Amino acid sequence: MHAAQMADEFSQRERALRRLPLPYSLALRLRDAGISADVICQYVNVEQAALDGLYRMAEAKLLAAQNATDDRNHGSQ
Amino acid sequence: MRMRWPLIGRSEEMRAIEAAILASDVSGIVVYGAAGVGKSRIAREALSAAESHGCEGRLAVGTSSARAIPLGVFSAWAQSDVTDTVQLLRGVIESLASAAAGATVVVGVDDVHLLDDLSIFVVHQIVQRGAAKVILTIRDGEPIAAAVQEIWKVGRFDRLDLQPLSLDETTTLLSATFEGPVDPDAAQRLWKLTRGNVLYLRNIVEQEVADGRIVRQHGYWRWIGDPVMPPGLVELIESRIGALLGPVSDVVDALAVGEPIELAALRRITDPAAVEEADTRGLITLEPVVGRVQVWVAHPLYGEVRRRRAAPTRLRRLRGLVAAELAAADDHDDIQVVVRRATLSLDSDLKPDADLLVRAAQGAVWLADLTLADRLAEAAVRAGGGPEPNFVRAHALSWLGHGEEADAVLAEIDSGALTDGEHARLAFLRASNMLWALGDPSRAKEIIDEASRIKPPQARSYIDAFLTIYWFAMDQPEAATQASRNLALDDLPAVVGAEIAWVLAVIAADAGRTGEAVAVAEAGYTAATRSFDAPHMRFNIADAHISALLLSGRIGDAVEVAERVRQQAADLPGAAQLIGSGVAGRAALGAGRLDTACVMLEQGAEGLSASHAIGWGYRYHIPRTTALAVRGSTGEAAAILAVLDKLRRPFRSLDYESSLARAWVVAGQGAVSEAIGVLLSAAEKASAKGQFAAEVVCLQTAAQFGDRSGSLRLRELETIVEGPRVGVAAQFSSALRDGDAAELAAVSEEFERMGDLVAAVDAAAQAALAYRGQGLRGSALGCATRADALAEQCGGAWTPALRQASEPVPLTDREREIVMLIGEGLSNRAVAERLTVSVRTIESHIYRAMSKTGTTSRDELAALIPRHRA
Repeated sequence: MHAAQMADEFSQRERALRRLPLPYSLALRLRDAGISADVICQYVNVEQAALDGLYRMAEAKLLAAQNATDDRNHGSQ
Repeated sequence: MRMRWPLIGRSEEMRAIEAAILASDVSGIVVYGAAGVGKSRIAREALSAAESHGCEGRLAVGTSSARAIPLGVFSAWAQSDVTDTVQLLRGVIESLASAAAGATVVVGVDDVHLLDDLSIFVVHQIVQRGAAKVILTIRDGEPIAAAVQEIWKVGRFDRLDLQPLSLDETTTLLSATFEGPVDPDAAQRLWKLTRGNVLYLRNIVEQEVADGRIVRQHGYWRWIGDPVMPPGLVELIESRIGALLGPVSDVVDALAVGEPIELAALRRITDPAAVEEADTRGLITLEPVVGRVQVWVAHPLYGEVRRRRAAPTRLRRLRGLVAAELAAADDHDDIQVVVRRATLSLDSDLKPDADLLVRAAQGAVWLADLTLADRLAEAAVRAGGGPEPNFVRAHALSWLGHGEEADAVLAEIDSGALTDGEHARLAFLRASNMLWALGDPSRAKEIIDEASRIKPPQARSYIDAFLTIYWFAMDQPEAATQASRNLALDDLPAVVGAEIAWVLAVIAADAGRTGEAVAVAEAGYTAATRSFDAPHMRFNIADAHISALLLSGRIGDAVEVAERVRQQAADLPGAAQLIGSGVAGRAALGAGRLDTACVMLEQGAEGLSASHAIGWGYRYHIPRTTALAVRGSTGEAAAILAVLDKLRRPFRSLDYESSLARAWVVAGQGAVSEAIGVLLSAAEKASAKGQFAAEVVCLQTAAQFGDRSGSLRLRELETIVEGPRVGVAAQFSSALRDGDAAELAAVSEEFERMGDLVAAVDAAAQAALAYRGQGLRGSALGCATRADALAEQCGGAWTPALRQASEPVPLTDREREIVMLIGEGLSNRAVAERLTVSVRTIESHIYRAMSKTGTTSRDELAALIPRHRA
């Protein structure tokens, strides 16, 4: 049961990630994978100075998307 | 048409801007972003939001024309009679920054990179003095003058990089703009074309609406036909691309017809220096994928514009070049590459290659691009590809719902040149198309009967396979099983094997042989994949797979399978995606996730009704009706049933599912005894056809409505039907018969564990009623509260048992039924007719109900029963 719940949480984060605009989900995935900042900047096409702001925005959007997923699934889990 | 485009998907960005305005140690915020991504819009919205919080807003917009005039963008704040520059500047700064006492001024400067030097100086001074908060927008990739960069050196600025909208956000924006649901296929196509650039999206959508290519059909906004680029947008994009000279235009145009192209290949067919220049100018995008680099046009619309502007002969030559390059690559036989090569060759200067076109047509079927399959197969026919392209084309047309065209394509085949096996295949395809796409079972049977008289034994499997399908479609599962007894799934021609797997999986599922149904479904997936058949067939099989799991009570498994299907379907074009929604919606309904079920089934059923009204459209409207009725939207559900009743569906009556839908509707209207009658009769019919799992579900639902007659039969079925449902249903029915409240409460928990939440609601509600009958008010309340909580979890179930448990009125079942029907607006005579009793009987029930409750009129009496809460 616990494992199933964990899987559910994973897939919930994953679902939320998939709903974000690509640069945000890509930046978060690359950061999670431990890729260095300058490479991430190349991939998502931003200047290094903008990267922290991009992460902040990405995290805010991820949280909002996760909450929205929660609302959608409320009572249906 | 002027459309209203609300701000969607920008809440976090708005909050970031607001935070910058509120923070005492920050001068403001710089908003970066590509042209058309929505910088100006968000700057304006942020200014309005600041004004609504008591700030004073000023907006200046940089343009290339205002740039030529000193202080051009701030001329509105300049005094007209001042000639001294210093005084003029001071005046502008003061009038920009002056405000009522205590109010903060927020100055928005859109496109700050287009400001003239004096205007830049004004902004610089405002920031340096802290005279106002500043919101600046800058277009990505524009050169930024040193003086502008000075602005964020003198102050502290937050930075916001605006991104295009995601598919999800684009869909939400479109639905909000159209004030109604948008066909997911249309949303996806629009997103692919515009990549979430709001400016492009608006331009295209407004043009398409004005030209009648985006229209409302069956409640959904759909995009029919190909987009015509609005002239304004073409100019806009051309100005963005800039002048394309010689070799660079070759690079962009080669990609416009054949992207993505591998970098090495692109360098071979165009000038390598031009590729570099195109990259530097931001006209193309290089994307590293495993071991190589793929090149795309920087934005899909650049490709659209170039395809419309470049000379057709030039595009034909470039397509030929790209196709030849793909043919020389190592992966030239990969199915996706074959489809691309053949598609490029269609409008190229290459000689048509019939074999390539046939393989590509099969590949396109497999990729669910049936329209493309049709085009490729048609070209293969013209190129002299023998009967095979006709077979493939007819198959694609049949899946598209174009039955008559499919029949015509099969009729074109020169049957004299066919082998016996091909003859049988032709008969199978014609009969299948006749049955499913043209809805003429008797003609289909004639075709196969004719074929069976003349065919040698080796072609027998096609004949037996079709007979299996035919009897299944005629709701004769036993005859179908009989016809299939000599068929070995693994030996059947692949397309046939997949269809047979679907049929046999449904039959086993309905009969309650869950293990067999699941195994056959799994074999069917393999056959469908092996045959390069359309994903539609895999989804049909999944529909049967889910039926098996739902009927047996393995609801978690059903939801899992459905989620897999939905994900596979999500990126496919046309009907395939909608079938995915339908399948997922059915699983959600089975799990009691009524809100999700209603959304998905509506999407699937409405979408499929446009092309396959009597087929998939009808199929998913049935469970949709049930979902609506269980939620208490009885009127809407009844209206859909009425429409379905008018459709002539000549195959697969979906009897038990239709009966469930009808029973929920009737029960929702208040005629619970009639609903039970519908279910018991459906159970009997199912039983007669050996559909024992379907019988279980009918009897269980009747018990949910309060029927006490099913327990013995359910006990018998326990020995026949696999899975946990039948046992719990039998326990439920027995507890109901015995009035055993504690047992009913336990059954409710069993249903919840099994995943059938609606049944869990009803068992809890029945437990509450039983406790109440025994005068145990506390226990009754506990169970009623649990029923309510579960109903909430379902996304708002509103069932007859729940209704009864939540009303404090001491009526008998019959009295309640009559009072409900009165509440529906029926006269005493109409109620009598509906319940097939005399008017006098109705009157005496009403009289007794009134005296019990102390009410004095029919209206007062009707008001005692709680109506649908949603």
